[in-house]
Amino acid sequence: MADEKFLVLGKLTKALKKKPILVGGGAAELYTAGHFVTGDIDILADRAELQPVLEKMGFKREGMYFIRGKVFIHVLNPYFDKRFDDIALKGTGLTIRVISVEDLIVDRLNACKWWRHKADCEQAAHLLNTFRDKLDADYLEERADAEDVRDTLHEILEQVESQRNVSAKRVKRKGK
Amino acid sequence: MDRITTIQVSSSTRDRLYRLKFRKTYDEYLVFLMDMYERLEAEGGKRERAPDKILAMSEAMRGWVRRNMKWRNGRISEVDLDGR
Repeated sequence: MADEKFLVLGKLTKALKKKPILVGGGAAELYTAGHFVTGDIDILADRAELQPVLEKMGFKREGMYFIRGKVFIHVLNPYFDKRFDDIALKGTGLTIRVISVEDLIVDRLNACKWWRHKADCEQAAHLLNTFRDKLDADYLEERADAEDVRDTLHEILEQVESQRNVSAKRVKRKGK
Repeated sequence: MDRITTIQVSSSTRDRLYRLKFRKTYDEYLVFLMDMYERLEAEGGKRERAPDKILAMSEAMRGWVRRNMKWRNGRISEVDLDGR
């Protein structure tokens, strides 16, 4: 059974004209198969269109959150000039719109560099290694440049690369 | 907190959220942040290297991505969350 918060988002996406976009920790949870779990989900959406639909689904508004049981939805301004992907949730008939892996990495790099938040450095490293053959490298570099985090990107890439070399040597040694 | 503005939540809701996010109450999380800040200051702000466990975890994830994500034109098009 897919996570309730992603199902809720899928239902919202189906119901709304302006499709909400999943960003932040929720996107990281989706892309890391739950290795990095988040409590709430941040979505970019048109609040005026969203609120009555959420209320119909049993959500109560409190401050900046809409809450139902363990599902906390944090609604942010819908302005978004980055890449997103429309991702089908297998077996549910639902689709969700999610910030691209590349932009999520840049988001984590920002928190890593400017906030020195170790968990975000780890998430960036995790995503960079997991999706290393799948990323649009040109776009990632361009976005990292635009956000002034190219140095952190390369620092983490080097760390990941050197760790991989160490692991490969260990495997080789064991094989001898 | 007795009176809240439109962007605030009550202290009980805030604690529920922080327990979900960080397995800590809001106050416990603040203490954790202050400890972390002091530790970082003591280390001169040096970031730790990506540890082995992150690499091992993401190598395992690569298998999960192959099994549970479909791609179209280089972009993710489907995910099987039951494969988690």
